[in-house]
Amino acid sequence: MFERRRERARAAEEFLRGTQTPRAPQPLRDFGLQRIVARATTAGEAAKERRYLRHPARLRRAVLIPVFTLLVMTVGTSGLYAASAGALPGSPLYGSKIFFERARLAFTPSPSSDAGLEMEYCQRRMRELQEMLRGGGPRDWERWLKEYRRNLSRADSLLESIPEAESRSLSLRFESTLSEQLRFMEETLAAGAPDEILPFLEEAYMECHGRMMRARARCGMEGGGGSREQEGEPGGPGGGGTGYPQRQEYPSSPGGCTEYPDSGCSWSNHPTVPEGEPDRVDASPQEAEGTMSGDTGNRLGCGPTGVEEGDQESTHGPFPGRHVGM
Amino acid sequence: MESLEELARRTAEGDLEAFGAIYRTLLDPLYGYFFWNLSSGAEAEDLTEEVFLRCLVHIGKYDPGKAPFRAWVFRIARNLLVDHLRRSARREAKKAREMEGHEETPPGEDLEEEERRRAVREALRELPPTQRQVVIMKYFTGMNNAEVASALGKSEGAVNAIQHRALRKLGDVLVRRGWGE
Repeated sequence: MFERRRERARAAEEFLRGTQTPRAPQPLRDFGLQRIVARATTAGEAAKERRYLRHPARLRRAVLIPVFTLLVMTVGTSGLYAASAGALPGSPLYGSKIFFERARLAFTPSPSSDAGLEMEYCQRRMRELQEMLRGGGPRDWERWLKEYRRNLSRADSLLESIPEAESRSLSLRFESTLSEQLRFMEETLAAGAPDEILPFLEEAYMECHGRMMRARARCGMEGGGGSREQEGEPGGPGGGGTGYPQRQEYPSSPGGCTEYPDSGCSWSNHPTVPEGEPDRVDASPQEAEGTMSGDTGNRLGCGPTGVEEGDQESTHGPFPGRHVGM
Repeated sequence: MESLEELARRTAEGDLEAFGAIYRTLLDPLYGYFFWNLSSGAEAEDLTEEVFLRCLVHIGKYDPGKAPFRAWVFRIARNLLVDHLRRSARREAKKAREMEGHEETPPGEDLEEEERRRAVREALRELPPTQRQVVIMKYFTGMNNAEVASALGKSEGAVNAIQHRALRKLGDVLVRRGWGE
């Protein structure tokens, strides 16, 4: 049995040896080598790349570099945003602040959101004004005015472009905001703003006043009254846009502090100085009896009732008692 | 004639002529290896080309001190075959059933040779995988026991024993199928 199996194994071996293996097909014989060499060139490159990434340190580097770059960019952008938030015109970071403001506008979903944001930026400009008035460091008043005008103009034109139903409530808000801003600027002027910033303040005042009047017209409000009248405060700036009186007419703010409402030190907390009050140190008796007479609260005299005929015929232009060069 | 190891060294240095010589020497044995392991000639052709491609790309890694070049190439071939069979196990089984009795035969072959090949193929299918590899490498690719052992990662003694067991089993199968005694 065992011998028989050995015989069979030997026979099987003979059988295998006698069996011919077919040769490789002719196409493979003729063109295979060329094809392989061509493929090896690209495969070699790919293998090199795979080998490069198979190295743990290289793989880590390939993953970590983009992640780290992204992280640095995110942190850098956030840091710049945070650092520029309190920048004032004239500061190197002010440009970034304006850039972020404009970038944010690009992500708003609707024109009404844009308008709301522009209003918010107008408020920011007022806070900047307040900070700049507090003094210290180089201040770029021209830049400030440019940005303020731009915000006002953008907000105004956006309110024009949105549907009336939506526009009305926003215009009311805009009017109220501008009314507060006008009052703040009045206070500032009354407190005795430095000469070099007066032209800018006056420009800002005029622009703000013009936009407020347009907002009022959009709401169907009477041009001379304004929100302050509605609130029981007669007069108010912009009543006809006739300008404001000499700054000598204004008393200094109590404690020398002229605060913008948003800043936490509300202007409405300041006591209104009634006409002819003894502590009005700057007001001459003539002024007290003339421009301010019978115009409680309308210290600017820019409302229709606060302007004496003939006052505007002077060489002072829209700002009585002062040449503005306009 | 230069040894395969010397040709491999020259190829690693960028001599494509040397690789051409390797190609001409190993083309038929490699094709034969896949021919007897697979039922499709087209697949055997593709895998042969793939082996040479890998061989050329990785020839820089070949170390003559560790294994004969032929064994190194057949190790690549075996790994490729295992991957190929694993990937297409189901497809392969179905195909094998379909191909049963009508395997691809190169045109112009005589009938007896065709019958003989079919008998060997069927007999090889009845062998366990390692025995089949040893038989194919030893009798159809012209490798010696040392090269087979190196290609399969076994000792020469083990390969010898596997070969004897495989031949005894093949003898039984061939007799059963009417090819002996």
